[in-house]
Amino acid sequence: MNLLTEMADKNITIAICSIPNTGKSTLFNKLTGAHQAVGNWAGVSVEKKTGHFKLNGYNINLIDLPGAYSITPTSIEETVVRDYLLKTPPDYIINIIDARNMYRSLGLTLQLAQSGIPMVVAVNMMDEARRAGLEIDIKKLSNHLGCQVIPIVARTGEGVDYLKNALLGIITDPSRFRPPYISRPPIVEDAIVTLAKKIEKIHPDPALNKTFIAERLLESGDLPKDVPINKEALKEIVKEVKHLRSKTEQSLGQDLTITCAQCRFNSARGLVNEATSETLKVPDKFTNALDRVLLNKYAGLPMFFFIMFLLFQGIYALGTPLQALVGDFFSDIQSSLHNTSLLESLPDFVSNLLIDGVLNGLGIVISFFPLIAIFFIFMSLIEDSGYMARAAFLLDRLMHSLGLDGKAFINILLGYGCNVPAVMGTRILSSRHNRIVTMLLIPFTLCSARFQVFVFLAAILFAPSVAPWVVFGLYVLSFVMVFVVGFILKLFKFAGKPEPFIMEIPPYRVPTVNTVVLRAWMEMKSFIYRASTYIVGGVVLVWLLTNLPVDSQPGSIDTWAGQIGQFLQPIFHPIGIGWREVIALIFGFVAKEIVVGSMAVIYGTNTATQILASITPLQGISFMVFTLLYTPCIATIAAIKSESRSWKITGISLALGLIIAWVTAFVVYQGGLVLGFH
Amino acid sequence: MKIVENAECVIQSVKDNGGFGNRLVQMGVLPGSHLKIIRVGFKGSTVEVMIDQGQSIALRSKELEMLDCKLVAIPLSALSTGDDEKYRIKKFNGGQGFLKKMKDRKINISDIFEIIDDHPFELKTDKGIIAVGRGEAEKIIVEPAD
Ligand SMILES: Nc1nc2c(ncn2[C@@H]2O[C@H](COP(=O)(O)OP(=O)(O)OP(=O)(O)O)[C@@H](O)[C@H]2O)c(=O)[nH]1
Ligand SMILES: [Mg+2]
Repeated sequence: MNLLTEMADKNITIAICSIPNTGKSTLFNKLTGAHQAVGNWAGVSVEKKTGHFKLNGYNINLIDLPGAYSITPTSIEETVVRDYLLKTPPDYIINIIDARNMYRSLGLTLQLAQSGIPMVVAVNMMDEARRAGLEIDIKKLSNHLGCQVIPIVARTGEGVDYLKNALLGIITDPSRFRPPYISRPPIVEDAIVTLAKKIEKIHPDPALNKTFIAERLLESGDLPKDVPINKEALKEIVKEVKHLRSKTEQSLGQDLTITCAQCRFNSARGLVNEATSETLKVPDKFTNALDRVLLNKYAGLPMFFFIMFLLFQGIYALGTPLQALVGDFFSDIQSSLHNTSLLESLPDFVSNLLIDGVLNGLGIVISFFPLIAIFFIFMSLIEDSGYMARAAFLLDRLMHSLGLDGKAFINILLGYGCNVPAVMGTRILSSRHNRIVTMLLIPFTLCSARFQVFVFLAAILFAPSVAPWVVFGLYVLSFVMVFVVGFILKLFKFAGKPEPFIMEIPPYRVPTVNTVVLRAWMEMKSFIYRASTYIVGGVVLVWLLTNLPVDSQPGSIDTWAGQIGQFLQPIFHPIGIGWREVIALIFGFVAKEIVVGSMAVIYGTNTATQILASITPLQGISFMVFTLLYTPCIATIAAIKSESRSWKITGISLALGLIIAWVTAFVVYQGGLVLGFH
Repeated sequence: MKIVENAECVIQSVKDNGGFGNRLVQMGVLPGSHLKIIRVGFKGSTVEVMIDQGQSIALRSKELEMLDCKLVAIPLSALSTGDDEKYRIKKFNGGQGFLKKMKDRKINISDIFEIIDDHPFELKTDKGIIAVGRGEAEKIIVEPAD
């Protein structure tokens, strides 16, 4: 055999599959060295991600799946899991059990174990279990489940080497795995056997156990989607399934879905009783005590706003001095470059483009680097501590008035970091309708890119003591607008449809330095990527527009930018936005950071003094309000398009942003004028 | 079931109420599961419930009320004269001092009583009539005695 085919033989796909918030992504990161987002709430991962690692010469493709309670999906993230497992079964599965809460995890474990795909089970969070004095009889678990069970602490990597060995063991000798037995009522057992025989004949995917497929078919009403059988063969079977389903349901007097879950969880309960010293009372004391304060009936909500305020203060107080430092550094470079002979030898047009265009524009954008790092460090503290689910609990009532629920609020809160993952995060919501409504609201959150625009402008236009309050005011406005727009949508009969609300509340965890730093680093990387690609591109374009045609006075009304701005002036005049800002807004459509870069380019060197000379504080506020509310960046639009799969919704989102932004800015500007501000 | 903190119930049957039942079932909340309300949110619309195996979940009280379940524990303070059932004292949610106080007043676990008045509480047991204060009533957990 030649070397090439031998290598090809060694590609193996392993999927990590378990219920939400058990540490799948943490383990995935440990095994592959990737930096998947980790957070302490259910529904952090909403799509499957692939990573790679080597195991004794095998090339492992590791798949990190979203959390799912079962292969009978109740939301999109769970559908992702089912579709993946049934349509493209992996070679092996790593299933994770939460050591503190084995019962809950075991339902899925037992279901997966029936599938016929060889599996290794990891019991994660052993550190927390130990701290709580919980003993787990790993051997007994392993005997009952028919597969290797490895205790691990995914966070620290403890036990991960044993897990790798177990994987190796099962790869070299799959016979080590045998499906566990789940006792079912005889009538269900018979139905499954009958169906399994039928399926055997038409021979579906051999990777999956026939009994498993039979149970899937019986359990779920959603036949074609559930099983990888060709359509023709399926038709034949559907009739049989319907017949068997109604027969068993009649005789048991209960939904078959419930009966099947009951069988699984009865086994799970038995197993837990046998394998653990005692059932643990979660939440732990610490969680209990903290929640008594943070989820207090009356103080909880005010405390939420106060925490948000403190976070803002922290980010602002730590970030802005650093930003100024980096900003100064860049302007120093800029002024020293102006006099170098190298640049003087270049044509004026080119050297101006380089210095006043690229360097000036990009320098200002990059000066926000530390601010963004600090922002995401704080954000990930919230995400990894477990407070996210608490915020959802507290805001559920308010969200309910929009026909949405607390989970949708998690997405709104994520939007304050970046709109794109927030839009994708709506997959944790169970109805399409509510996902769409949430997606339409997310663009009104003040994301970290818009934050930069506001910090930049507020620092120029307002006194240092006032500036943070202006920015904070914009946060408040953004929060209020999310609800206002929600109510407006409701007026147009576009409200969420109240749907059942079930949300896990995880115990508090101390965020690890690792997670927090990695998270900030990932955001930095994507910031650098944006800065080096379309932010540079945008800035260069703006510079060209404000400097062409060549015979025009740069930055004047005669340039192309001036012409465009002039053309749009009738729309923007009533809200006090001049043609230069209009150009910035147009480019801000690509990415909000470009707004800052373009302002720097348009106003040239000494940007701050120039801006101060030509924009009044009121005009500045109107501009910021417009920037806050109008159409989010292209990436968000793309996310909305791909998540909603509808141009109509994408169009509505665009239009909604523009209209709301204009109307609000109009009210602010004209109102301000009437009140005598300028 | 009554939506008050510290009330506990056992699920009797689950119907798939627009996805609610199905979701619960897949999470392992099944007939026979034991629920305890550990927190009622502002204005009572959202509640935090502890499932017997130790997972805490947030639900809406409306949906919780619609679940078919049997009450197995409730603080005395949530009852009123209208509940003309008999109840049994199940446990005391208090510290040493409270336990001693109850003992001194001859209020014991397993005592069966009827509520004569709820403002303040007057309970009729076979030993006579006992008066209980509001604060105390919150710490006395009772169950229906059938
Ligand atoms: N104490 C402790 N915490 C852990 C361990 N592994 C993961 N965690 C924490 O558990 C939480 C959930 O981890 P994730 O890796 O995001 O879990 P997940 O299963 O990917 O979650 P979803 O994607 O939401 O389904 C995070 O707060 C982790 O820091 C562990 O071994 N010990
Ligand atoms: Mg994950």
